[in-house]
Amino acid sequence: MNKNRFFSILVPFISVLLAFLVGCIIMAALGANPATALGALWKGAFGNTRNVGTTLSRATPLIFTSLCACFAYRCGVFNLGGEGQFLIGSVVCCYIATQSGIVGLPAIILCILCGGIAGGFWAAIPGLLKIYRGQNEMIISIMLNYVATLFMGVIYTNWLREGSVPQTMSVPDESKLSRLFGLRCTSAFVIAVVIGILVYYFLFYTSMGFQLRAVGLNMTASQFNGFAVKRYILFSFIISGVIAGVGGSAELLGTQFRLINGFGAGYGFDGVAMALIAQLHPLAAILVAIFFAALRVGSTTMQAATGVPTSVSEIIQALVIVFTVAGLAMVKLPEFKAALERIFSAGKEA
Amino acid sequence: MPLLEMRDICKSFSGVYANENVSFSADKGEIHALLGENGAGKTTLMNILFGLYQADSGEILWKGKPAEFASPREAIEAGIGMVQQHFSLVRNLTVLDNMILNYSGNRFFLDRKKERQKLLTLSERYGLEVHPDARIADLSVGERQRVEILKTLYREIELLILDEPTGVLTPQETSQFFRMLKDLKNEGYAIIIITHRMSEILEISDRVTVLRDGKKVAEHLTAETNADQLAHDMIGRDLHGLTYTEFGEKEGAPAAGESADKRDENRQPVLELKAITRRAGKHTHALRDISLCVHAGEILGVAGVEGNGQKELAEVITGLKQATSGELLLDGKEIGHASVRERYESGISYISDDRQSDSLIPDMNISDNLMLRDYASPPYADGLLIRRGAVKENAKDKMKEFEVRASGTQGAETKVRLLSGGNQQKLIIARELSDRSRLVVAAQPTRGLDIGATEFVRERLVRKKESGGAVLLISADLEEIFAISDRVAVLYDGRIMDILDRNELDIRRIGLLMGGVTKESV
Repeated sequence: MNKNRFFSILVPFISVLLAFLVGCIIMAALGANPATALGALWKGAFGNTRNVGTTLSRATPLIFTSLCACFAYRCGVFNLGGEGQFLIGSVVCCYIATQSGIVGLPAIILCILCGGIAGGFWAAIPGLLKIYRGQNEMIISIMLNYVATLFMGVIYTNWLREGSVPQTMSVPDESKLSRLFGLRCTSAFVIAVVIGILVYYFLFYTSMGFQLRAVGLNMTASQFNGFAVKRYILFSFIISGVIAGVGGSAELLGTQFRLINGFGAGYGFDGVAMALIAQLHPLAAILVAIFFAALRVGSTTMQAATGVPTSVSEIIQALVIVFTVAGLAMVKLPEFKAALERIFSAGKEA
Repeated sequence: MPLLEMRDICKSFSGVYANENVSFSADKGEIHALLGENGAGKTTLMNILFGLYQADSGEILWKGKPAEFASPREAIEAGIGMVQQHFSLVRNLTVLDNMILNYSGNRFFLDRKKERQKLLTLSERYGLEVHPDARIADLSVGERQRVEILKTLYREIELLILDEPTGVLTPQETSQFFRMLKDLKNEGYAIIIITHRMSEILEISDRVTVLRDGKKVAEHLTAETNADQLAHDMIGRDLHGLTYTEFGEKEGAPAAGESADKRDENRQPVLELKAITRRAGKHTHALRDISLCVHAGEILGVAGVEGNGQKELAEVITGLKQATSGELLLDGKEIGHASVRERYESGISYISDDRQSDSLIPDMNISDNLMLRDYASPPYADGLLIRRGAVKENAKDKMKEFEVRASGTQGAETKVRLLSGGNQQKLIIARELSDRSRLVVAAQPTRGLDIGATEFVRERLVRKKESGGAVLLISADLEEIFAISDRVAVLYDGRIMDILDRNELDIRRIGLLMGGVTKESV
């Protein structure tokens, strides 16, 4: 196998090991037995089918937001607005699901479609400003996250508020996504995986995907080849937003059922981090999202069983990101390559 | 005793001499011009003096004492200032801030009032008018240059080096600039000016040193020389006789004595430019009233010192930039408004001078780069989907035919980043010289290549021409132009100075044209 490819796969695994190692030291320092704690963590995440269902359900929105980040990055633009697009998608979805009077499968299809369109629209704003006005897409998309969060606030505190608590009314039962095998995880997970596969297929097996990646890797050469560079940038932004918007809708119809304070918070940037660890590979992004969800779900069991606080799991998650980013940067260093060469040649002589 | 003396300076980069036993001197109250083609070693020599490079051997005497400058800072402290071709100003700071940025007097306290006064005094004294509080970003190029020069004078230097200072200036700015240089000279500064413009040398300098291929070939007092001699010194080799016979033997055509007009009658014009004009931009050069024609089965060479509109000419033809006015015809059809893609599809292919950034995607593999142009059409794709098999097949064939060698075991899957420059260029040739291409615009196609790859590229271009294609060869390498062109156009300051037929090629004349001197003005 190609050396570079090999390292790009090896580094995340080593990073995970290192992160757990540090986590174990912290656990030991807290007076817990790391082995027991990790065992509880594993049990909580994958111990039985019910827990697996919970993990997959937690992974679903993360899969959407990391695919959202992947798609735009592949075209060389940075969409940091996954969260805003996710929220706007769920807001529109919530509005239709609760106000249109349509229920059942037609409602689900309509809600998810409109949620996707709303997310795409939200992403089109930084995209258009970038290609026509040269504005920095990262800043604009981050700023729009706040706009979306506050807009959602208006929805659940005023427009669609139900009762005394600041939250919207619930999605009708007929419009909720069906659970898989009676578990916590719903068909939203299936939608996420299908979109992941579609994204992978599009990027690597179609001529449009080829152009999109070409634009991402070398914009000048793409221009010299007559690719419609600006159109691709806008397109990648919009599709990236659509993925996030569909994610927001699926999360609402599958898991949360109503908008409340804190809905979807943090998913956007989690998605960016996971896309980077997956090195922008859509299928890898799915696995990474499941891994992070497992850490989150399992940590509750760990806390209950061994008294190790869930924040240790958060530390591990953060360290995985830090180690992966640092590791990937390290293997690109000329010094590292030279050292590697020495080791390999020494090995051959011996 | 001269102020500066450089003795037998040698400097090589990966085995190639950039300077070979060059000696050079500069005196107070003198303007010394350094003349040479691209890559003759002018800038390298000055960078050694300024401490940016260290010489492999040779010595520098500054005020009679041996000196060695490990960094520009040391050179500046000794009293040597240099204005690089590309300015090094902080765009978002004011003029005064840029001056102070260089400040090394008192490290702890900053007396802005005093510094401001110093700047005003300097700028008044030399007529270098700039407002101390103007932001660099708001200044014109000419003004920025003034700031650059002020910045060096501010450091109380005695020797000022200017690298191609007039390249970016308008004629009015240039004459003002020259007045200022003369003032500085009368003040007792020693000035070294690197340039390729003959007229400027004759106008401004007291002494000229000519470099060619890293060696010093001549030193004249300006008063005792003329443009003709300088052109000869600069280009040197008598390429004319040599390559002509070689060419005649190889190609068997054109028959000696046959006039250009007669041959043109039989040839179909492929590309025609009529009065193409393009305004200069922030980072681009102007094209002025360019008319030329490339026929089927012909290589038209475009000679000239780089930065005289070559890149812009290529990009206007390939559609990356639009002409301000004028007509552009391909096979008699107006294509001035067609997109890059449409032009490629109607037969214009392009070998850019910056292969890594313009022509290839270094992070993609060989087979992907080979289908970069035709990614959506058969045999590589059926409408939407890419046919990986056909792409691989094509890559294998092309790699064999064009002798693209990838080290390692991955063959067509090798990332282009990992290929050598020669192999990268072969890859581009393989892609661009397909059967459909009617016109090849080749910009500096052999730059940085070794002899083998260079031969290969030239041979392919000649083969293209023999099979009835048209080639526009833009090159700063005169030897290359002479070796394979049928006609030669000389570009200077965005203008075609003249188009010479192969029979009339004369190295001196080309050299003069490249320096902006027409026959009439000599």
